Amino acid sequence: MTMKSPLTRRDVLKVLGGSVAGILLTPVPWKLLDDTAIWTQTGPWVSKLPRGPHSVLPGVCTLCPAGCPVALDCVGGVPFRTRAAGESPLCTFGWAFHQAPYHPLRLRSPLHIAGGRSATPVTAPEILARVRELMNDPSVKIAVLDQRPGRTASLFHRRLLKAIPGGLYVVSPDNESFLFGGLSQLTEEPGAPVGLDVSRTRLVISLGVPLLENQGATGMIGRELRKAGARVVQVEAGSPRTGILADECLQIIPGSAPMLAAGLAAIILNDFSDPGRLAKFRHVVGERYTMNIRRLKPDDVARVTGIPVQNLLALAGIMASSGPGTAVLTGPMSGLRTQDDEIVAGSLNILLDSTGPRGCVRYAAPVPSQFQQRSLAPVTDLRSVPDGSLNILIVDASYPGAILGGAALRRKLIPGRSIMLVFSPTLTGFARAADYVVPTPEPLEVITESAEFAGWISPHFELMRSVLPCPEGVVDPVAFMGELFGSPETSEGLLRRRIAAIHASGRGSVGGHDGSEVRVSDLASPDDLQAILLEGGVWHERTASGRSIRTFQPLRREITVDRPEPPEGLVLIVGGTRSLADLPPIMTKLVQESGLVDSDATVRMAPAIASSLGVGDGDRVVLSFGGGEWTARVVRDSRLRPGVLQLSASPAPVALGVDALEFGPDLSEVFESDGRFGSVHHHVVVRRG
Amino acid sequence: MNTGKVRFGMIIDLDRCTGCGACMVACAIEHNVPPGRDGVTERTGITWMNVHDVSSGEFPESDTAFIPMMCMQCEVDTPCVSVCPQNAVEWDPETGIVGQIPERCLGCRYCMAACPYHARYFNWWDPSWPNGAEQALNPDVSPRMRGVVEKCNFCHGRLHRAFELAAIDGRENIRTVEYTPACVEACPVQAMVFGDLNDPSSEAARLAADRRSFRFLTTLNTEPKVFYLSDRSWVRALGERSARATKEVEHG
Repeated sequence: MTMKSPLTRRDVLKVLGGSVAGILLTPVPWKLLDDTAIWTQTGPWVSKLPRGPHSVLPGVCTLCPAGCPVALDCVGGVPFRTRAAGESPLCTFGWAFHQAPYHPLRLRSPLHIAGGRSATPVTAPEILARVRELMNDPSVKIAVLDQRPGRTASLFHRRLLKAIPGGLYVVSPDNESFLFGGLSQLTEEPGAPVGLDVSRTRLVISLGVPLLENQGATGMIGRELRKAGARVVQVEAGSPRTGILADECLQIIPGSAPMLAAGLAAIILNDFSDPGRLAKFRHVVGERYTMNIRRLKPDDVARVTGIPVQNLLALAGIMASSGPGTAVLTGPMSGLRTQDDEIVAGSLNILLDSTGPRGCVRYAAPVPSQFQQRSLAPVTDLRSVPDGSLNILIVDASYPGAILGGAALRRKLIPGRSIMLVFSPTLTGFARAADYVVPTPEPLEVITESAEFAGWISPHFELMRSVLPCPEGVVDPVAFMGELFGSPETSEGLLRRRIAAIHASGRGSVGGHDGSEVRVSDLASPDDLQAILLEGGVWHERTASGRSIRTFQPLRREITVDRPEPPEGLVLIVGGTRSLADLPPIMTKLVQESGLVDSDATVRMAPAIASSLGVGDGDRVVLSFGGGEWTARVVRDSRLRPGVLQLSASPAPVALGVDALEFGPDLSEVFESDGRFGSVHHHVVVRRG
Repeated sequence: MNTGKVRFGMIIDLDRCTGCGACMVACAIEHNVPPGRDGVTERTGITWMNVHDVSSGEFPESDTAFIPMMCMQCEVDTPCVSVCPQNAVEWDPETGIVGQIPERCLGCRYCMAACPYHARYFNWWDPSWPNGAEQALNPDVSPRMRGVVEKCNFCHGRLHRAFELAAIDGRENIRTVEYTPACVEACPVQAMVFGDLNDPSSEAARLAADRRSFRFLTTLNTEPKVFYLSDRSWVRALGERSARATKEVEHG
């Protein structure tokens, strides 16, 4: 008798099937999934965190002239976080300060850019030789555009340019350092730095200054004004993104800012002014201009600016009653295109007598003897440089956020016999329009200095130490310029001499992050002063709170105010905040990843206009105007005046994976005049892209 | 559910916010969120903190508000917790913080579908940084891999650090000043306040009970712990709209 096996194939299959079903009720498969997820996160392709001792380095943010005190959290000596130190908060850019050296389009070698389209590596001596070749011509016209005026290096540039015939030291009106552009031209020293005494200001008329954006130096002034309880009237030609948050926001018709300034002056002159102020005003701006604007009727001003008459009268009344407590500031979105436009606006400060203690000529920190005023080239406004007049244009583009289009600069060159050379740490902004680009260090790689700006009326001097090694291939712009002009120097050497000059003067005191205060006269040597400055100390001289502007230089030319007709059809205004392309790529959070900030790929329009054009949010449209065409994505914005299209001038932040040599179109290339903030273009045609 | 334990919450004053985006940048840097890749969009980007620019009315009577949106840290029936098949989302009974555990996440994105605030983000790519920026990562926060979801966790890394510091001092509890999320620290106009909503003496609890206070989508009864303040009725009315509808009215 044979035993029959109790196990059948069916039984085996049952067990197997039961096991498979049963195992799902155990933690095994889920644990396996968990572990698989964990294993795949420890692969070599996943970034490893830095390790090392933690430390905190005090310093100042030198991305913009505000020079906010910061504390850098470091691991292994490398900063991984920037925090605000002291009372001043940081702006968006300041939080990314420590990431500046890691820009994806960072340059490691000088480049020659042919035709603005392709770049090939060259050496610094080759560029020097090429520039010297042009400089051999005795009639050569050479200019240095300083995008960060008010540094010791700026003084060095000015001294070099003073020594050669045809040398021009140029600054851009789009620079946020200049809030009193027009007023500055009327002082006894035209172009002198004028600062705002925030603590004594009660009313600010902001013509396109982004005071409430909380970004950069102007943002810092805005916060200080709020803290001091000053009333802010924001005048905007485009979408009043944060302007609406001001105490009052006036949305004018694009291009009518000069008329608004003249109209307000007319109302104040005719209805509120006392004889003393009138005489001073007439003395500076001339009898004819005074007569001309006094003839302006509020109705005419209202028609041109789009501001109701009663609002104009009310504003002029408030300005007159606030008198010396009023400051009229002009900025990049003001729509004041010419120097005369700025003078029209700046002269309001004279009319209101606000140039005594409020708008002051700023004192600078003591400078070495070779940088005294008489040995420096005068400051020239870029708008005064005629197109086609320069053989050599050198741009010290060390200020991130500049918005001026590269094409606008190229127009200043003599075609065929010229070179545009740009110092830049990254292949962004002006560098893309250059013939030659010289790579420069980023902040934190060398000792950097915070520039002077209009938010200070007493002299300041601040430094940020070097924390990271300077990459190979970068060039010190001061050393390059010194070699070019036969006057050897280095940035660090310049700063040491400046510190020595401050120490030798015995003036002021230096305050540390910890609230300590040491008088310079108590410091034994310049090295002691430098040591405190490199620890985040700030040298200042509170007692020298700016020199009141008592006398003005009468204008030597006549200024007039255009009376433009209100535009017909669609008007395009170039607006936006400022370029984010040369800031760390984390700024993609603000633009591509959220749409909080516009880039040059965005055009805003009122919903009614969008409906009439048959487009909606996100649709692509082609804008055609005088000089060319530009494609942008539509954003409907009910805050905009109907009939106005606003195109941001700000290139988007550089996202990861962008080819460094893939040159996209430059917005400024397609404009007839230039692609600057506030420029206005008429007869725009829009079609679906 | 008020259990008498700590309930961390945030109050954001929309009448102060100027939409500068400092909170967004500080948040991304704090949590090692990489910059966007070429072609990144609002749908594929990662912004734990996302500030929306909204407006009301037509020119010239228009008004603006900037609304920072992040995980609302729902206290009750937290939607993302209930749908996660992996227990990768956890509600901490000690703090009320809704945490995301990327190591457990399978990337099914049910939580993203469930979140009424659209405050969750999917990693479409492995994280990467340019030109050696890895050396500048925050050593307290691990980068997340491709294929997992992430979101605001009230800077949990900072909470841990605060507890570590307290432990070094021999304390069991942290002091309020020792734990501040990066966005609150970054806000240049002090529009954000963070604290224990269960502590009646805290500024956060006081503001949460303020007459100007409102929350988004309270009809869902998930008891979000992010409160907003505004005096403006049209801004307060946005609280009853879904995130998508709010997005649609951003600019009229």
